Amino acid sequence: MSQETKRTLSRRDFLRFAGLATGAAALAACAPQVIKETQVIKETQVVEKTVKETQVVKETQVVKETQLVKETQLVEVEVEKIITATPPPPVKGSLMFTWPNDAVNGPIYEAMWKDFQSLYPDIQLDIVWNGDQNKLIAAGTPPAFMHGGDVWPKELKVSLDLDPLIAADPSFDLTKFDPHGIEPLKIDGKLKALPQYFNISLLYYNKKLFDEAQVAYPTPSWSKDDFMNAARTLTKKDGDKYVQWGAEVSHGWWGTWLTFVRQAGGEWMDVKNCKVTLNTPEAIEGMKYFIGLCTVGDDKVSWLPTEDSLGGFQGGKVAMSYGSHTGLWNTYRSANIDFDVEVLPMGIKQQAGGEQALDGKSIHKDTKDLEAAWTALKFFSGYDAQYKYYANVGPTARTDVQQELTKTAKENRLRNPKNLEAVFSAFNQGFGMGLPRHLGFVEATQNTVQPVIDLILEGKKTVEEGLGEANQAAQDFMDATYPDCGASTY
Amino acid sequence: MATSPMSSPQTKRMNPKRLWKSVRFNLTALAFISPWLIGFLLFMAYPIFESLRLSFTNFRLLEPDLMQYVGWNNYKFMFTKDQVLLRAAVNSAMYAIMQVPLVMLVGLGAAVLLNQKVRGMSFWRTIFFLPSLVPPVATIVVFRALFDPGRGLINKVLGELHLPQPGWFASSDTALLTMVIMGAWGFGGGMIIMLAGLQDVPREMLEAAEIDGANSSQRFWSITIPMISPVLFFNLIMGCIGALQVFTQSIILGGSTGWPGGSTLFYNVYVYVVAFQSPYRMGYASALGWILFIGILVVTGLNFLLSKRYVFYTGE
Repeated sequence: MSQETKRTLSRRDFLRFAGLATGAAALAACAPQVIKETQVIKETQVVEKTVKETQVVKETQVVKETQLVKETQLVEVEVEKIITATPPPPVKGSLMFTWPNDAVNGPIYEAMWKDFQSLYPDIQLDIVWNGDQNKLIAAGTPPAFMHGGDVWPKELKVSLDLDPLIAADPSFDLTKFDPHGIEPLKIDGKLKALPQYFNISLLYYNKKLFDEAQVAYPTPSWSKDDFMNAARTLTKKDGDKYVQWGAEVSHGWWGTWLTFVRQAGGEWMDVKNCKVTLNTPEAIEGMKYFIGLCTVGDDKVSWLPTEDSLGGFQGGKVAMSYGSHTGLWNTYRSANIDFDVEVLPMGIKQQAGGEQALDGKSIHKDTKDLEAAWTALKFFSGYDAQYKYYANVGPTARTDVQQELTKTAKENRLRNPKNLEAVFSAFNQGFGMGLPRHLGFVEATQNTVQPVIDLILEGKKTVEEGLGEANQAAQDFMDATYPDCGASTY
Repeated sequence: MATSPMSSPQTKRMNPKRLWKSVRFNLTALAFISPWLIGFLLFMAYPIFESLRLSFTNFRLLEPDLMQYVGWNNYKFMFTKDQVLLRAAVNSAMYAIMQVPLVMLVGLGAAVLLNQKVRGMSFWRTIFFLPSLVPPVATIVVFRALFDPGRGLINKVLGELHLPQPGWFASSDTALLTMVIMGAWGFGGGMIIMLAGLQDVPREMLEAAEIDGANSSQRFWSITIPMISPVLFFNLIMGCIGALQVFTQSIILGGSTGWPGGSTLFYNVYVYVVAFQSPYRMGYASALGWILFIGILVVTGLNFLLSKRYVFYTGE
């Protein structure tokens, strides 16, 4: 046996084995890396924490005993979590772009980019914090990313069509986003941006003021009368002076007055986006409701620009804010207002009509380093980034993140607003209405309509006169600046 | 007829050596000033002429490929249809008409006070000039708080005195006027120039007038004012140009709409809004800029024409 097994290795066999071994080694080197890396990340968890311990002596006729009574409350703590993750395939490139960096959200954004950089160290980042992207475009050095959204179509128009990228990338699943977060970001049927967060008009209410007045919190089925009754009850005067307002309505922002107009069945433009329709009976009725909240006798539950706002909703002396902006959540939190939200009450004709606007990020059509740009865009639209950051910055359109956020029982949610169901249902069920998709909408509204609304609020014009005048001025502007209304619709 | 050797063709023709020296001298001089010259050509002259070209186009910043020449359309729209422009132009003119004389009066009054022989004058001069050093944004924040109709100090005091409490910045009736009052806060710059002018008024003339029996009012109106009229004229010109170009106050207080009711929308802000608010209508904004330039040129020209009647130059 030993004789048989003892075989001499021929030169041919040696070369064959050597060839096989080299081939195997080459294959192994070219195969995708599956190195598992262990890393420690910090995660915020909700835990119960003892804040006070007291010795309580209980004495009965029979025994005397001492009990330790613990007071606990839910707090947010940072815990270190060890995770094992497969590092993403390396991507090389360089990206230059602008990014907002305000006092409130700046640290969140900076941390976000650090995370990205640790995942993709081979992508060189040149971030112009708070820079003006349009200046870069004008200078012929367009940024890799564009900030925009459905309100700013010009930015979307110079953005890259994302559909081919999405189709070619199996790691990206567009169905994770609610369609209400995708459709508005399309131009001519092509997706131009991915949603980052959204605003949806909601009714904000100060729970403390409601509790003090023993008024029931708003419900999803509140009628116009329910709202008005609560607002009247919560408006308080000391002599001639208002010491508490029932409601806040923003005077200088389309997002509020257009909500009242739309809830009354009116619209800014006709369906073809050719004719301004602010002088219709429905629009006039809705505007009267809006103006009346600040001016008319017993229905005056809010202030005029010339009156004391008592610090607005964040001042703690205003019970409700009709259609406030999700971008103000952090402001309200910083002011320590115990607030929550509910879907808007029924308007004159319908509940739908609040503003719905999307903040999106896109890739400039002339971006040179497409792979790096797409990698970054995916990162910020991914589950982790949307969960970690946009839960703080603003609500996300990603349904898997929405589901995760609403898993925790309402009472155990630490941040206001706790009624995230209202936020997401208002968005996903289409309670909000996108702004008119006309290139001139923002400019016409700001410059020709808003000043007239200011004058109506001051009582210098009736609603009918004012809206008639504003309608004409807006129409003149549209006709002169965008003579082809069809081509100006997006 | 004898010709002067100085004017003969032979002497007029320059020696090539001297010519080369002169050229070299000029080239060297040009080389020395070239950093400024290149900067001027690139960053001043070119943009000025480019903006003139753009004013005849529909150029929009984010859609440079779609640019078309539209002839005089921008100018036609400006003068026939643009109601916002009309409002902005009227506001700017009203502001200039009210603010320039007010600042000059306050500045002259302060300069007269600071021209007295009082102990600690350097201290008072510093105090009076300090407001001019406060950044405009800080001034606006303070004034907005002071004039807040609901919680401002001014209305609190007026309320205590049972006087009417205006809406100040929050009412379209009073917003522009309140801005004029706020503008007077920056009288320091003009005051310093007028103080220098006052100190240049010959003492002998004032003393001679006093001996002749002129009282202080007569001396002021008949000697001091004519003697400082070139300084007043300079302040008037600069004040008009400055008032017609007000931007910071308007954009901070009234935003891009000139809240309330467009009453604080100034021409410059409107140019900015058209140029830098989506859809970035740079073509139309350039046309607006040129009309503003012509407007300021006309106002300055009128001032110069009228100045012949009231400005007295001692050397003439």
